[in-house]
Amino acid sequence: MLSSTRESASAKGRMSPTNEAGAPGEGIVKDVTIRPDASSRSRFWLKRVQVYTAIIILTIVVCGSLLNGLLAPYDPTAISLSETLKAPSAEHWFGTDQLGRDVLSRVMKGGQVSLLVAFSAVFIAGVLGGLIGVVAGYLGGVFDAVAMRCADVQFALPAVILALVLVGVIGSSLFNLILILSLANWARFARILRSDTLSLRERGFVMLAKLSGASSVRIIFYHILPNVISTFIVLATLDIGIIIILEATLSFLGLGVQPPNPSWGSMIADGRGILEQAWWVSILPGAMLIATVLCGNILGDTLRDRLSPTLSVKW
Amino acid sequence: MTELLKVEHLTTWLATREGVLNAVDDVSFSVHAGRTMALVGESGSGKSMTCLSIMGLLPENGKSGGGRVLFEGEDLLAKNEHEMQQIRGVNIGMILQDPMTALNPLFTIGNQVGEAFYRERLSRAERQTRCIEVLREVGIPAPEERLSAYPHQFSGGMRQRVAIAMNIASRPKLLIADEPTTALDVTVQLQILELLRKIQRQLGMGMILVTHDLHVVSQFCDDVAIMYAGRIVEAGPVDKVFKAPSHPYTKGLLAAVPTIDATVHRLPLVKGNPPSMLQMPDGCRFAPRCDMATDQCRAEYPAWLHFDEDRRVACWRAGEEE
Amino acid sequence: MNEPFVVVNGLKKNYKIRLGMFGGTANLQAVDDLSFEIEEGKTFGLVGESGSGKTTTARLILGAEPATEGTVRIGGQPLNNAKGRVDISLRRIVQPVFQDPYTSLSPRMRIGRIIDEPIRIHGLLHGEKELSHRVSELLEMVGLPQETAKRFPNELSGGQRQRVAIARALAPNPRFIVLDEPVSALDVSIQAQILNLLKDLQEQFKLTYLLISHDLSVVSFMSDRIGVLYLGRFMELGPKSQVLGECTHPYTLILRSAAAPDESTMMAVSGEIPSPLSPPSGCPFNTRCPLADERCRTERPRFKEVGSNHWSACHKTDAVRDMLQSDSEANSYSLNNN
Repeated sequence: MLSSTRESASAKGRMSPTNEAGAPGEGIVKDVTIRPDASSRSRFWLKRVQVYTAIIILTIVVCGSLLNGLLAPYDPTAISLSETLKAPSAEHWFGTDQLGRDVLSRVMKGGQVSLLVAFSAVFIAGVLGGLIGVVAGYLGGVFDAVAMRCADVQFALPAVILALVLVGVIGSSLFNLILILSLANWARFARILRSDTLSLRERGFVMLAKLSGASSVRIIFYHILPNVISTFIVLATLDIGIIIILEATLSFLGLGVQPPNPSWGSMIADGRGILEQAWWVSILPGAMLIATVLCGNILGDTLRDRLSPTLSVKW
Repeated sequence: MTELLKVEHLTTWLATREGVLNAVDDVSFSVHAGRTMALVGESGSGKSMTCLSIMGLLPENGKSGGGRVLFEGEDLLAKNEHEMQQIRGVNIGMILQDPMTALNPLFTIGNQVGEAFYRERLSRAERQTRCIEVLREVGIPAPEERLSAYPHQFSGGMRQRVAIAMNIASRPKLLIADEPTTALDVTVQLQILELLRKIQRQLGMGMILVTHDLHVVSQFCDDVAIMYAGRIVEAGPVDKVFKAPSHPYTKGLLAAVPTIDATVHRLPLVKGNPPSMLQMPDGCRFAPRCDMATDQCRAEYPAWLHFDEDRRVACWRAGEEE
Repeated sequence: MNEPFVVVNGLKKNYKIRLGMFGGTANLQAVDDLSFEIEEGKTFGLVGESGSGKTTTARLILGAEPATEGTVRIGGQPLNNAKGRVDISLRRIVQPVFQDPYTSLSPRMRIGRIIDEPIRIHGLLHGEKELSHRVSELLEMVGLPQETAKRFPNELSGGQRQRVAIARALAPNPRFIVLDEPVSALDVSIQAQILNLLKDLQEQFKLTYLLISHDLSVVSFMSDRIGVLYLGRFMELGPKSQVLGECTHPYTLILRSAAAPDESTMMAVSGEIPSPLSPPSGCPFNTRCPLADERCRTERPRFKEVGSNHWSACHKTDAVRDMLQSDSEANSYSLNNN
């Protein structure tokens, strides 16, 4: 059948592939490379700058805080009454406070305390809340009901009031502060990881494991936990900012880190009375606080985008 | 026969995290008024991307990078978003696989179908009559009573009918149906396809039916274009292509469909998997799965071989044997 | 006497459904009095539309949820022991393969670990070396290259994933595999590969299959016996050749023409499957049946034997036979005629 119609197969068609109409090559688009247009390119570029700036600032803050013993120019608690309320200068980059203490050194030391408290609290809240959430989500039933009502109670209580009560009961120390902040934050982890678990529980691979006779512990450890890790990481990154602010609030109210140890919150509180004469005493620790939380959030958002499997590149 | 839509050398690129891939590669075909063209292919063959390119509805990571889409002589690819809005839903309708995504769960059916008439500035009563008319056209029983119903109160088949009503309300010249029955039960599939055929004949629309179901193609379509890995490998009138397929992929597909009459013990099959879009083989993209592939097939993409006037195939070996 | 490998007797499943926030409860009869048997090494095909109760049946037979009434015996052993739990040894010899190869593989596990999991659960092999040896053996059986073991599911195509799911099911040397829509998420050319693979494996290991599908052509290719489900009940049940060749129920006839639509046998069917919450009185299919009359609307047809081991629930089996006769005389245009 073909042979009789072979004539109509134009020789030209064979000579110039992909182009029946002649004008060889016109239709060939193999070499076209599509590039994002200018406006979307700049959007993409902006995003990158944002992320890298955040990483650099966070690195500086974390290094400065953790290595404050080595890097701090002065002793953060050394009082020098001859040098009170000096404006920022080459000698004191961030100036000095009412007692002549170097603000930069205190910001570094305060950062150490704030970050220590925040990381520990997020870790405890995350592991505790996350496990409760996953187990509650997987098992359901009474455990789930009790755990979720506890979470509801925690959500209903403002964190600051909860902290006020707890400080009144157990007193204030660094360890207690971490404990209080963990208690004030576990429920978010529990809620979100529970809902993740609920959807994972219905997925085919969990069903398969169950039907193969796997125990609940096995399913939770091998099938659920690895699949909620990315949510956990994102949540933890975003939570660090929240906890740093909560810690600062408590310290601002005098319930957090106790003097003479500095913390960002208590430093802002110390300087608020003299804001007009010496803005640097509270504004600079405040700026550090804001920068850290902001960068943490940017990083958290980026991680969420990166870890989500469905994300595609945008032009 | 008027040529309603002429797609020439359409090429669409998709950016993914793994790299830029060529989702639609040099695709050309035409759709005539009053005829249905089937775009057949497996998942990832680029059939849906072709439709989205025509509609200018590519996802954010997609771009059409070459060729033309001539709708009544005008190049749709050259139009901006505002101009496309005047064409989409007015001159070209599109029906999606899952009717639930096409309907807003928060609005009544009357509301959503009425949306199609908003350009005409009708009064409330007029709009209602028109809605009832078009719902009756798509075979919804007692449409007067169903106007105030919400999408979730409809079954899957009825929802797809509503989606069709929304799309034909403005009397489009071209209807693109992207797997309109895949989400439906087999018995309901036939009803919807029958309906589409009826409406198409009534309105003299051109239609592109995207499907992977060869039974549907053989039953409901006039022309067919078979896509593989982003390219059309064979095209022509359905009866001719199905009676004497000349591309090995088409042959394989036709043979691989299990039929209820067959008493075969094993299905003849196409071996292997479609190539990854990121690692396209040189030459013919089907060559790694093809029993007839030669060195030429592996080196150079086959040029079109035209025969029977309206048939073409992209295979170096086509027409050699027999 | 030799009992068939799988015996399902009077299987029923009711769900209590809450109607609205304050409404009462309604009774949803998902599966209503199903009885069938599967001989060892054979395939039983269950075909039906969504809402016909076929997936519920699979879940009951897998012991994923308890049946309201009825018994399932697999390999001469009751599915549920005295405590109502599924015996762990049955968990080994009964393995499922699900429809969606995208959700049935854990995205953060390597293929090797996915495949050897049932072996680990049942402690069948010990030592990483033996396990990895078994994994490569299984990969070879399903036609995947060895290095697949180190990959993650998202690196594989749909067909490859379904092969992995099959390898996983084969891992603990099962005797009975429940295939719930094993190919409906796959492309045609890949479907054929998987169906052939399943047939080969069945021959090689004398596997017994329960195949569930909405696609009569898939069921007819694979099965020895076929059960046609509608609203949780069997409409027709029997050997493949009889159910397809001499079908006695209008619903089977309609499914048949839907699986191979062509003008000559096209049967009009109106409407959609009714909600199982309010099943029609009389014959469940009467609302859509082209042959339905007053008797069908009031009296539920008995499930009666119409041929050897061929059962049908229809008042009008003779009328259906006549229709089939006239259809087959018209020469049909088949896709496979080239």
